[in-house]
Amino acid sequence: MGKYDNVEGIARRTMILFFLIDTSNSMSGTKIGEVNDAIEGVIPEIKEISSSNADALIKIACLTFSTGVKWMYPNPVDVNDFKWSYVNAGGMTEMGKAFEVLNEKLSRNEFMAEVAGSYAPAIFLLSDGAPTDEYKDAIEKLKKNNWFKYALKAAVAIGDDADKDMLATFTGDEELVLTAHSPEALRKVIRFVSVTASKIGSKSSVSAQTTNAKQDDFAEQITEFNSDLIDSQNDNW
Amino acid sequence: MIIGKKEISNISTLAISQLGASHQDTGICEDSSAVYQDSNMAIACVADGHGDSRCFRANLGSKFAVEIGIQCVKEFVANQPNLDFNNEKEIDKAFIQLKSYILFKWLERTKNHLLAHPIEDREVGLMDAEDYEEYQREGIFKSYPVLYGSTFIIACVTSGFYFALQLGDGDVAIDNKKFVMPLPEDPRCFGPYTTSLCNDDAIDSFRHYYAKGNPRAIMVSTDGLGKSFAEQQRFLDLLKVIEKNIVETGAEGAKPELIDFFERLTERGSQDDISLGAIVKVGE
Repeated sequence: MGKYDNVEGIARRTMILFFLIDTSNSMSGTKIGEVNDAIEGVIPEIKEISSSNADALIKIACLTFSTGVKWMYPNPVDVNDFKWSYVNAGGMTEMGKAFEVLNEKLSRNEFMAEVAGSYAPAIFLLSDGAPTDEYKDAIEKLKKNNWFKYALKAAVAIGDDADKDMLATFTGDEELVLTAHSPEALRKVIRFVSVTASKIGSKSSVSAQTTNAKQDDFAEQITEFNSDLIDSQNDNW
Repeated sequence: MIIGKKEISNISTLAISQLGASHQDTGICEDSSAVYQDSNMAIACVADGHGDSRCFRANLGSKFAVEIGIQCVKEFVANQPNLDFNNEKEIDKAFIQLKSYILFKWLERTKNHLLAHPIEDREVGLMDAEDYEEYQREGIFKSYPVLYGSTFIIACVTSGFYFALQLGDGDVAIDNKKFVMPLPEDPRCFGPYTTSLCNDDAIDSFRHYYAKGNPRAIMVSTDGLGKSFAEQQRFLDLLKVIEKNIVETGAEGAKPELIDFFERLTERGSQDDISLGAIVKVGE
């Protein structure tokens, strides 16, 4: 028997990829269908990133919001065990409530409790409309949350009715709000943002002097992708 | 208490750097480690070159850091035979000088390396455009240290006195009956972020600890080891097992099985490179 066979408590650091998905009535039909297909389709790629070259294990948490909010699973799930559960659309757009519960979960006592260490998360917000509830207080509180401050954030406006100003308030940078004018573009955006956030978010980084290096890197890649996306899109919802 | 005069004995030292599971594709271990031992002192040093894409020479930065660290601490102990360790002001002044000296030598070494080994074509794309313009114009650029960015930890045991210096993440654990981690935490080492030898304010980011006496063991390690454990106590439990094995079989005897274990640990744990430097008392 080896001298180290009984060593216990080995664990990997974790990076959580959050999907915040608008499942209000206006998302019904093609939009929610594309969201379901695209996220389910990108999971194998994130698995590959998590197992092959990431410094951190990637977990996934999904919050849907319409009339009320709902976590797909009560805790973030290791991407290797994650199974996408199809989400349906219907109801209002209670985005403020979503920000409130996200803020609660971005805490060492909740989702960020990994003792081996949690990397700043990546948070991806998808919406085709505007909040129907009071969201300003909730987003102000969320912006004071350290995990949120350090998070990689991106949002996709699905069609032209989405409140892009509000999405830019969420991401902190209008360049990080992408607009999908067609099912094809939406699929591309979901894939690109999920993969890029997983790759950048799960790698260790240089120094506290440049704490936003990952955010800068992420923003640069998203901006470049967005300019290509704008050039290639026709409105097709 | 005066350092560097009396001889030390029954000390065993060990240094290991294990390639991280997430670096298997490149085969480049960004960590470095080294130990030194003579009749007056034992030194263990580890450094962790950053994985950030801008730090494309970080494996060299960590190598330079441990080489310079060992040399500077050797000189520090040898050249200060009259340093009085009961005089706090004198010690603090000496440590400031030591930190400055290590940093100066590291910056000098990295600068000389860059001048002797210009940026290669494959490296250009990893640089900021402004830096590259300055580099083309001047042959050097202001933020060149980031290319070699690394953390740094060193510990030294002399007769009746020991100390440790740390800059960036990683761990220093000292066994006086049980392992404790006496250095203050640096709040800027957060999640994947760490302070670094390449920071402009690096001199202010050093932490140090010193004490009289002879510990049973001092272990310095890069974050790939500590962050492979869900609880700090489990990590300290492992250090105790390592210490026991070194006491029983000597550093060379303990090394092969430990290397094998680190290979498995990085796979199941942090996926990061793992480095350990150990100074262990093996007899009375």
